[in-house]
Amino acid sequence: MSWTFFQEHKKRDLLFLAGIILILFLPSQLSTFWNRTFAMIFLFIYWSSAWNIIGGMAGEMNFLHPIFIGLGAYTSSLLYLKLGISPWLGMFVGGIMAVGIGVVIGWICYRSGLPHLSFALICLGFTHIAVIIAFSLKITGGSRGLMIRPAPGLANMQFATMAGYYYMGLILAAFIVGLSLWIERSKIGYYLKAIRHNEMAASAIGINTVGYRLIAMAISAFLTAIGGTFYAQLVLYLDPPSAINAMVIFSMILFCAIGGFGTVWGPVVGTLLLMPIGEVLRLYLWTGLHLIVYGIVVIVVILFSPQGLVPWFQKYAKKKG
Amino acid sequence: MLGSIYGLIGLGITMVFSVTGLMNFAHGDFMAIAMYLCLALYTRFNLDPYISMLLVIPLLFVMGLLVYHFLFQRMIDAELLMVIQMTLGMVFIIESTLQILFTADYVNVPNFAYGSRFIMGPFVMSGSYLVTFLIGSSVGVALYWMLQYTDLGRQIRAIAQNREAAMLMGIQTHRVQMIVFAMGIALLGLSGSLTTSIITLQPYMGLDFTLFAFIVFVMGGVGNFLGTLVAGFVLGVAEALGALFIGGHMGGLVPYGLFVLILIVRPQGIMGAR
Repeated sequence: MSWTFFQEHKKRDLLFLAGIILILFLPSQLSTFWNRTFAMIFLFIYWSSAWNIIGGMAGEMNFLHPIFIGLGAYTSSLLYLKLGISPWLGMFVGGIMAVGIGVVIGWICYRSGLPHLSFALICLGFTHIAVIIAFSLKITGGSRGLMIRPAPGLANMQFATMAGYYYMGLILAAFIVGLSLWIERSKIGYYLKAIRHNEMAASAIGINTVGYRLIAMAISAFLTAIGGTFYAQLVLYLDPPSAINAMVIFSMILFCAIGGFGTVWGPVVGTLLLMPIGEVLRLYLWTGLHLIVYGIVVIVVILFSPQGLVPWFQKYAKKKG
Repeated sequence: MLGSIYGLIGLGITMVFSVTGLMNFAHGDFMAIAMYLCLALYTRFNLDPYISMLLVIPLLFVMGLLVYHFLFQRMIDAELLMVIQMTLGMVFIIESTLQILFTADYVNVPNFAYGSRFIMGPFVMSGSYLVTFLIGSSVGVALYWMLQYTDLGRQIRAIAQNREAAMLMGIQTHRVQMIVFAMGIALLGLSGSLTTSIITLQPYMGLDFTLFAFIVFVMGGVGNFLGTLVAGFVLGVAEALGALFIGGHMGGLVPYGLFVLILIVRPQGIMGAR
């Protein structure tokens, strides 16, 4: 082990440490608006990574996540509003319900051997159905929506300042990156990768493809629903089109795509790149124009690296050294 | 009676997918472009949408050629989800442009058949629905004939079956793919002009059309031309019946519910083969 190697590593560790300190102390320097924006960015890192477990690692076109988000948000909020149960408990109830729905839909669809595309559209069909149901139920407040009384306090998962949400989002994002790293290196991760690359071959060597896809679906659904609870406590207002929003899943997949499907850091990189661009454009450009520029950015990045940024960067690093 | 139009939109997607393997989520937005073009021609020159159709269709054909050449051709071997994301970027661009140019107001474009009513037994039918239905289904039949009995149609089917083999047989796959993509877009020009008086215009409607088209595409059996047309009719009828007998939010459930049911019972689609 040479001196330069040690020095390089020392440099990297120092940079890493400086980064962590910067992230931890950033909220005190930011305005409420930017703290809230960063909380949303962390939430999207969390959601994209949760989708990445089933969509990226198992390579499935799964569009059910708006339903999971809605379930998590509505369940915990309703439990809190009607029965006074803390969202910290309610989020697990929502998560378990999401797992139930996801596994039932998944079980029906996987068993009949639906092609990817049909499955994707069935998911979108279910999402439409869920929105309509949320509109017509009395308990969800229908189109009037659901207001959550602001009552700051750690027990209610509400924070007096936006910095609290920033830290909460940060914890969620850090947690999911750790979990993804673990899954990628575990047996499940390798099985999912095998299923993604060739489902027939995977099942031929004895992998229970339906079972493992269901496990991935359950993990993903549970985590997404918990993110939904956090979302509800952040915005404090739910109505069907915003809580069960197909655009949310499109952006989640977009972030994964830009970063690279199936890689642990892909969703993180994609979200960190695109969401700030989107926010800045929205702040400083004429309404409507910001989406045009955003769309152009997306198309250019995809044409530039059709595999996603993380695999492209890995290839580049390998070529260099 | 919108069934024939759903069939046409779906047919565009089926042709493009089976020949190029591309999924275009901006498909419905090109229809929105066509409809807004009709609106512009109507407000500026007082042209009836049925006449401006003759202008809109070639325009969209050219637009399809350009978009394919500059964007889609590079993505032909990329992962499907990547293509979908790129087209979603196009959705952002098109919808916001339409919104800036035409504002987000709801508008309708009348045509000469708009006010007239036809009474057939117990049913009352607006004239523009009848025209839409007649033109839509005849174009559907014509397209089907084209696919079965012309050289271009045979080439399209050959590429859909096996792209490499078709290439080895001396078919200029690239040219055919480009033409097919442009034809898919031109079909939207037709359906857009026909439906301007029936569907209320709104800049963000494109994605809804796209979803419906994909549902038709999958329900008919992926890559099956006749199945797509049939599925379009089925969905159109389901939507009309749902609105008639149930109404409200729940009526909107009928087409989606039917779609989910059909796919669970018959995963390969109405006319698809295993």
